[in-house]
Amino acid sequence: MSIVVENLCKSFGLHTVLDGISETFPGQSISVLLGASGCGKSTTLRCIAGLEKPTSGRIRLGERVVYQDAPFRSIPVEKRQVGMVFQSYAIWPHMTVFQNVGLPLRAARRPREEIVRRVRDALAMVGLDSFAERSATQLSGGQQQRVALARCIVSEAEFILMDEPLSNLDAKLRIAMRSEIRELQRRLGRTVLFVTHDQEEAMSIADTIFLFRAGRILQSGPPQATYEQPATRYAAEFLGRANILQEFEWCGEGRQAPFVRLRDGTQFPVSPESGFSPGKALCIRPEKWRIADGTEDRRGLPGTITRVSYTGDRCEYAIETPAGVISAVELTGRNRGTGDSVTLSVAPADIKLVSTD
Amino acid sequence: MAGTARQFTTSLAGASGFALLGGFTGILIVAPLATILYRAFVHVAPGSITPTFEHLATVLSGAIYWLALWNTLIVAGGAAVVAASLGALFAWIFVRTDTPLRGILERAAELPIFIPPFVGAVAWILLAAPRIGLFNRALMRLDIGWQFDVSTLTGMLCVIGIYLVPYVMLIVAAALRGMDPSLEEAAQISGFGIVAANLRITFPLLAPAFVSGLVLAFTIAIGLFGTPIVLGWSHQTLLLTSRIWISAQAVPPQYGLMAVLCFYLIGMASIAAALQRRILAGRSYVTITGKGFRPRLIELGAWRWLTFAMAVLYLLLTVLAPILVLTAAAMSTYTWSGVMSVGNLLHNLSSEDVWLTMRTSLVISLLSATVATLAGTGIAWVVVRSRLPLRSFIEHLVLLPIAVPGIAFGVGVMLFWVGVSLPVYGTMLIILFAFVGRFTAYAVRSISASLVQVHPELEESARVSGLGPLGAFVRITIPLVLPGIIAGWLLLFSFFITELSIVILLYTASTRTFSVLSFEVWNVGNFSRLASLSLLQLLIGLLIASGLRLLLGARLVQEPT
Repeated sequence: MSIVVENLCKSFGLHTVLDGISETFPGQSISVLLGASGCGKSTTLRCIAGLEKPTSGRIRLGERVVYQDAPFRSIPVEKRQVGMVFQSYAIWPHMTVFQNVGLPLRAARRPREEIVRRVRDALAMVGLDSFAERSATQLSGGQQQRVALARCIVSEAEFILMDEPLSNLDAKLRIAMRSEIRELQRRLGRTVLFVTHDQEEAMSIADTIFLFRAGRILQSGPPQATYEQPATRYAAEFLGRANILQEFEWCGEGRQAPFVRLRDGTQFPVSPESGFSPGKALCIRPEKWRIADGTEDRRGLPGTITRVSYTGDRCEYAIETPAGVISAVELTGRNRGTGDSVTLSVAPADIKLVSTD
Repeated sequence: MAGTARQFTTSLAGASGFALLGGFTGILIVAPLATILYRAFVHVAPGSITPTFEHLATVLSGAIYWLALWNTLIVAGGAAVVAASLGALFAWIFVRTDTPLRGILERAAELPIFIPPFVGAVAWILLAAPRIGLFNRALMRLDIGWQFDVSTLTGMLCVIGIYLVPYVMLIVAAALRGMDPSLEEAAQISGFGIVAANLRITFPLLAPAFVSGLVLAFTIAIGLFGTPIVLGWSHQTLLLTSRIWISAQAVPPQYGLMAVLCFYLIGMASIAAALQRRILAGRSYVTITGKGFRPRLIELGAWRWLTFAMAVLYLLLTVLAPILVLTAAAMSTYTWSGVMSVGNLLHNLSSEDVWLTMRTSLVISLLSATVATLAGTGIAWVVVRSRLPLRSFIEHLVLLPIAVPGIAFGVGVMLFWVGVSLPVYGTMLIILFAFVGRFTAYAVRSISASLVQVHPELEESARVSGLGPLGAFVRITIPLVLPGIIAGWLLLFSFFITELSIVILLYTASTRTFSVLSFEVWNVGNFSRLASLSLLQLLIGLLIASGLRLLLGARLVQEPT
């Protein structure tokens, strides 16, 4: 049961937030809407929930059209049967944990015994079995988060919307909750839409990433493909760190083994499928560099380490080369220091061409 | 050596500050309140002091006092209910709905706070008193045999209630603005419609703010003096405050009776406060996180014209109609003679006692507002920033008068200084003492609220940069909270310039204030002159309101906390 939006537009006054989004968010999996603040990801989610009224377009939840501009049809939020976790959790402070989780069932006028049973099940699923009678205000941030999760799964809503649900948690808990949410989705097989601005969170939780920029979807795909094959410079830099080299010569036409020549003359072989066109830049992720001691190897890019930052498991280097300053990363254990001479090389498949706009 | 000297100076400064603070609280606040207790149960005759229950017995056995208590309960309770229901409704309309012009209407609906209660009452006598009221003259012409009557209990509680609406509205609107909109959205996601979501989530969460507003309105209402006496006098519908005043007029003044009646008032205010604590106990969830939220607007469709009309009607009844009727009456040579002239209005305002009493009012108000603000700033700093021992105890004492209706505090001040052989009683000083003692609490509250907002690190970094404690306070903290301080000063000034319930007990021929003059003119029954003086008071109130608006931008009144 996928979620389909067609030509979805939303503007507040003169300010356009969504600029005609058409996309299918696949069912029974986690789709992450990723992007910087103000890119329209939350607005998309809130339009799908029915909390925001689109300016135009069409929204389908499974087979059900919940919004369309012509002929006009808009199902109110309470009839859309979705679950939602808010950034602030939105735990009702005047109710107990049990009452909070049970409210969707009471709204659906389920019998008392069923409510009790299903709330217990939902609470057990998030590990809060013993907290049912606790007042909601006595919970920690992480526990409130779990109550919010329980509340959105209790109703057996097929579609679950999460609006930056982890951004108010501390770093350790946030990482633990990622795998819990994934686990929960696997077990329940619901369709989850997850909004975040954190690329690491996006990649670790998503089945499919939808990268937003300025009211449009820039690129979508599984996390690995999106990271490895960014379409644009913005996508490359948003999803991680990247060396972008714009000054180079493409030597690929009619050759069996195409290569690029950097501005200092260094040549790197590239994969024949790279798909060069004018205006594209080279994109090389820092961890893709192979770093060799000394500068004797004439086939690589010679350079000098100017800065080392040590993060425990990895070392990050700034390397001054004739082709510009390169950032490179390797696992620790090599004991390199500033001033060391190195030679950089890279596998042909790890040189990507990205458009620069 | 230098170190010891410095320590000595510091501790000397601390000790003198402590003494000043203690003296201020003791003489201006604790002494008047203690005197009420003392005078109620001690018989003071020249040369002898004996404990007595005589005054209590008189009050308990007098039917007129039971009636006054009953009237007070009905009028204040009813007015509080009127104010709380309308206040909460208007807060919801202005904050949560798409009513046209809601921003302007909300600010305009705060204006009744600046209309002196006495003036509102005079205007409503002119509008809806039997036979002479303009509304009733219109009704008589329609010949339907029914008339408004503002001097009945119902009439009084309605008139008092509508003027208390903004107090509740401010509290509830603040709570609505501080409420996380996703709480309501989550209820809708759960399957409740907008109405059910409001009933189940929004209204329960607003309950604390609503109850606070209700109690505030009740506490203000029981202490009103001018309004109930002006409205109720013609039917002799007398409240406790009216009885206190009547006892003060007796020869010799019935001090003991007044003290006992003050106890009634203080008791009622305390019971209301205790009930509020009881109701809100265990429901301490705060919706006000200090975080500003953008409230979700509910689209009312055609109904928004109804809410618009309600707001306009409210302004018409509390502000516009009073201005119009007072202007008309002020310009009429004789009650509703139909002959009107600006000359008459000017003639009414040009007599010498108008300017004399206005000068007295201005001097007293300027001095009292300044002293109360300075004292409030100092006390707020001590409470929020210093480590002075007993500071929270002192804070409690200073805030005590908030629960004491003005007229009761006035009785306390009067009884205290009557018994002290210093030349204070009968001078301007006693009015100043009463004002400062009663109202410093408001300055303390609003200034400490702003002080809490100023992070201590701002002051600490000034200390690190080389400023002394006083220097850091004056150079860094004061400028940051100055708008709040000035606004507080203006608000106190606006209370003082029209204050009647305290002054009515403390003035003498040489210290008559403008509000006393208006009251005397009412007593004489010269309605045209009364209307002129009332109009002047109303204009002063609106002038102060616009001053505050300029100063504070959008928010006219700081949220009462």
